[in-house]
Amino acid sequence: MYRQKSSGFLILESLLAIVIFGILIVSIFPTINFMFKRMHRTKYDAQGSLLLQEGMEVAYNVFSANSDWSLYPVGADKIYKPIRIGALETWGLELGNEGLLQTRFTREIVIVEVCRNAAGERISTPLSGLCAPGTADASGRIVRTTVTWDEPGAKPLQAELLLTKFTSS
Amino acid sequence: MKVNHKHKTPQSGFSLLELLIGVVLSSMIFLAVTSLITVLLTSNSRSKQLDELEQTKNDLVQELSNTTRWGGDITLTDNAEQDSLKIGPVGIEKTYLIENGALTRNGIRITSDQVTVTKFNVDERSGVNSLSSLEIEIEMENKGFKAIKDNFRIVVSKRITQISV
Repeated sequence: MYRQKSSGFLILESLLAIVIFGILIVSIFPTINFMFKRMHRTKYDAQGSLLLQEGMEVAYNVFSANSDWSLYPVGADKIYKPIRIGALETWGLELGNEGLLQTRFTREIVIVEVCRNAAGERISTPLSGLCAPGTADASGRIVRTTVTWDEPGAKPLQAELLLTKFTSS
Repeated sequence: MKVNHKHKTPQSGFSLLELLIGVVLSSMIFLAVTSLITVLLTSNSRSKQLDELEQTKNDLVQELSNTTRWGGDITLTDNAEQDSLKIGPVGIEKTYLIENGALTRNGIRITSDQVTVTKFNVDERSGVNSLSSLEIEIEMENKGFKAIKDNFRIVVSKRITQISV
């Protein structure tokens, strides 16, 4: 009795091969998706950095151009936003929250006191942004700018600018 | 008595049904592979173009920020068609403007030849002449694929480098 030898694949074998191939394809597409997301995150980081720079540079110009720093009360609870003033649209700072920037970013500018010890060395500013009595440097300010956006895994960008007003003695 | 032995010849090859099924399955696999390769090639190409724009943006931010902060005197020419920005003492100033789709510094291209700069707008935002603060808007697009664009804004203030007492 001879067993007839047949060549080719069974339907079942073919279907199994297609299913395995399909699983491989499905597993590759999330990788491509991840690559696209990564690309976007790099772009958002760059956009966030520019917004951070903008906040810092506006604050620098405002404090450099104005000798009366009392116009800008200090404190961690006081959030500022850059504004344009007048017909020439010159920079200013105003208390208040900015809306969403470029549909996704939130920026906060906070001005706190510079604290120094008896030797004149800088010490940490309390979380409130106000120094203990007798330790505040009247000619100094710290401007903290924070940019955040809603994206999984994204970390806030933060920068600090130390400003010192030189006065003749 | 003659005995007719009919031998059944073993058949090799595929039946028509098996062949048809094989062709259909092969076509499906071919389609899937072709789509995948097309997606991969397209995303790779687009990714390269976006990288080019991103790199150009980073370079411009660094160049314009550093020059504005520390370069000295700033002279702005605000035209309807295009702006030009001069930074530095007379005679050794750096002049930035758009020429032939590129942003140039003293006539030398500082943007990639794969990128076309379509807008370079500079506005002065400081209330004090000696303390310039510029708002620079730049728009650019990929030379080969104009649909790939980027636009951004740089705000940078001149630093005080001399203190008069």
